[in-house]
Amino acid sequence: MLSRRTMLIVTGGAGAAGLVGVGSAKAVTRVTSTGEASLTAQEFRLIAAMAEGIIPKTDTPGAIGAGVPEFFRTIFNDWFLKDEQIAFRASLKAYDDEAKLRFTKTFLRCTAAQQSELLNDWDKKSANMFARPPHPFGQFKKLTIHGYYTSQVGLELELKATMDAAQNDPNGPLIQPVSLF
Amino acid sequence: MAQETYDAIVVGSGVSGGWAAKELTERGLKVLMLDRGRMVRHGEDYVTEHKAPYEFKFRGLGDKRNSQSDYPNNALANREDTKHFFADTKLHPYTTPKDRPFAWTRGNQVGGKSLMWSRQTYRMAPVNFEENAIDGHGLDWPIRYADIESWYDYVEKFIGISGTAIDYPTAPGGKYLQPGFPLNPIEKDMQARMAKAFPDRPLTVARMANLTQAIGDDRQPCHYCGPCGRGCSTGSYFSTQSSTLPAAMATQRLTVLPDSIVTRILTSESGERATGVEVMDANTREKRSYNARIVFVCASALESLRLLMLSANDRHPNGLGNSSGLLGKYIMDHVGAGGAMATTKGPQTPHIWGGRPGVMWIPRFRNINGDKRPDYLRGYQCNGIAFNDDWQRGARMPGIGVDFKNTLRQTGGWHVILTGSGEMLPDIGNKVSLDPDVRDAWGIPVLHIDVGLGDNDMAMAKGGSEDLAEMLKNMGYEGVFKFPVGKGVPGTSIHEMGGAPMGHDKRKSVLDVNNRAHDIPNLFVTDGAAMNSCSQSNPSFTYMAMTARAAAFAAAEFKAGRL
Ligand SMILES: Cc1cc2nc3c(=O)[nH]c(=O)nc-3n(C[C@H](O)[C@H](O)[C@H](O)COP(=O)(O)OP(=O)(O)OC[C@H]3O[C@@H](n4cnc5c(N)ncnc54)[C@H](O)[C@@H]3O)c2cc1C
Repeated sequence: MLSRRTMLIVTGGAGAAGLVGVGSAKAVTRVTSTGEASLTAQEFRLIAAMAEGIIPKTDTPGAIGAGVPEFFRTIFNDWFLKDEQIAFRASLKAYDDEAKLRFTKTFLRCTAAQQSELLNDWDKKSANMFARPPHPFGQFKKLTIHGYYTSQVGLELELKATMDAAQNDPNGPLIQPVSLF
Repeated sequence: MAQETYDAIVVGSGVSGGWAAKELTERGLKVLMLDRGRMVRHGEDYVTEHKAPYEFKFRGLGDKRNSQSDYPNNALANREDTKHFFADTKLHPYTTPKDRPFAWTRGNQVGGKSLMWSRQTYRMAPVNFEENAIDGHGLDWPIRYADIESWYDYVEKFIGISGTAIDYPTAPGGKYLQPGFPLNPIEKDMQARMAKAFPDRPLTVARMANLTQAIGDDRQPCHYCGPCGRGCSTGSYFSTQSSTLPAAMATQRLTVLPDSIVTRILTSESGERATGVEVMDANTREKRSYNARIVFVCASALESLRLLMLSANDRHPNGLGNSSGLLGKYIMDHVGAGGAMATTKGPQTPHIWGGRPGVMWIPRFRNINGDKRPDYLRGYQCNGIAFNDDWQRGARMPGIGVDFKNTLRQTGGWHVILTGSGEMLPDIGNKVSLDPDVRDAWGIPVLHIDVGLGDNDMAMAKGGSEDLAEMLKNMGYEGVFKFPVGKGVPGTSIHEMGGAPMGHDKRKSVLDVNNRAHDIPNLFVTDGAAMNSCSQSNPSFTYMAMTARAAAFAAAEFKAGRL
């Protein structure tokens, strides 16, 4: 669920918002190497709000505090192929279109409850593995999770993963997992 | 062209080349070891070794836009943390028939694939040296287990292998094993279930060229940091850099030249002797040559074959050592012999960042000990793991928000997996040759790889998959899922080998009983090219033992003035 405070941060308030704002302003001017324009400030804020809705701040930072929006920017600018960039951008527009249709305002202007309703709805739709094309929220959620749990915040504050945990486990060590990369 | 003379030249500095350099120098020879790739310094050049996930730009998702390989099953070549050790196939292409894809993974640097391998280290069993003769597939090995046993012991003692010695026909050896890595509680439970359900199929920890005890000051026991393939500065991981190269350097008789592509092996005018090699500087493309009394070809199986073919001359029009016409024939890899997975119960564990370097192992139990499969010859060995779900399950789990986050804070359910790795039958139709049209980035003709799995291989994959699912069921696991058996792309196991078979009869083999070309007695090939069958065992231990054996022979002949 998205708190009012998060909304403030995302839309350019204090603290982390400073970072978000600076980053996005830079992003607008950039053309990625595929020729596609980088994420706009508006798109960046939408991503941040959605990601924070998936992994909110609790006793540890949420997606925004862990830099997930910036991770999305890297993925968009430098990792997605051109057709994936186009599809991703279209999906962002579709999320907003759906918010407008249901609540007559963009996702960012929706209340926390409305945002949560939308996200839960998309989550349910994306769970259908047989849908073709798959619902884009599946990819969004996956990237959010990946960005969060491979971040320093996610690993060290949220999961408390330590490098020598395997060695010190009195039960005997686990095989090296792929999950922490 | 500058000319310099050595007692021996070793082409390639990977698993085999490192051993050749060590043995030849320690036996008194002045050696030049050439590698086509860059120098990788032990420790200093393991640039990603202990990096955290967040230090990688794409956090492990790979750099899609700068893919190093578009060939099938070559995903490792694109990993962000290790791609610098994998050859870029855009520079190093190869061709295949359209309907016979092949996955060829190379590590072109000083150290070769010894920097990237998974270090499972098993001997071939006595039966493996006999089966070609028994069932008539492939060419009979000119040696038997007894001929190589002491060399396996020799290598085992030097490199340090951890594991468990067991009395089982396909798990020989173990005199010098270090203690195996400990199993976790779920694996111990699996071991107990297995012993009850299948007392004739031992399940134990994998034998690994990874130390659990120090060897000297420079090779320390594994500290479980995790991603071994990034380079191991504590030397716990066997590589050329950690093990054979320091030994060879200590003799002060070794010269190592990186960035030196051997483009031809040179022979005397009569063609009866190798006289040295022609080298192209990988950076400047300048050519030079080096002379030696002995040449060891250790460029990795298929690259060694390519080099022998590229070295064709008037006396050897079809490639060096190819009077039998068999050079490049009988190419093999290991067959993915199925897999199965199940769920089980287990404790909550901390999130770990790192881990034990090895899996579990069940030695081959098919077509031995009186077992006789109606549907396939030979057999497969198994690996097993037990693991619990981590945060990645979030992508497959419904939910968002606080509860979702709190759930992922805990590790998830436990799973066990068994996989099979089987022997691919030697088949003369599986072959490599030089592609007449395609060249690599240095203008050198590339290999055309024409290799496919046969009926026996596919039957083993299917049978293995059924066995593994049945084993999990009979051990009492729930939710058993059998992995689908696909068509299989050979090369995927990265155990490509064969193509320069050994034998007593020069009309029916390329190499003699000591790994030297029948046609050119001072030319040795001691890597995977020399394998007459691939067995069920991961092969590199055998390459090391064969190389050490051939090098001892070569050094003795050299000293006796016969080479
Ligand atoms: C991810 C991975 C996991 C693996 N796991 C296992 C395992 O668990 N157990 C196992 O037994 N095996 C494993 N292998 C396979 C193992 O790495 C190889 O069997 C082994 O490295 C082969 O040794 P080699 O000396 O023949 O070749 P390499 O180690 O590949 O060395 C060949 C060297 O020759 C050089 N070279 C090639 N051509 C030329 C030329 N023309 N001039 C000069 N130099 C040249 C290359 O640059 C390279 O350095 C694995 C491989 C990989 C990639």
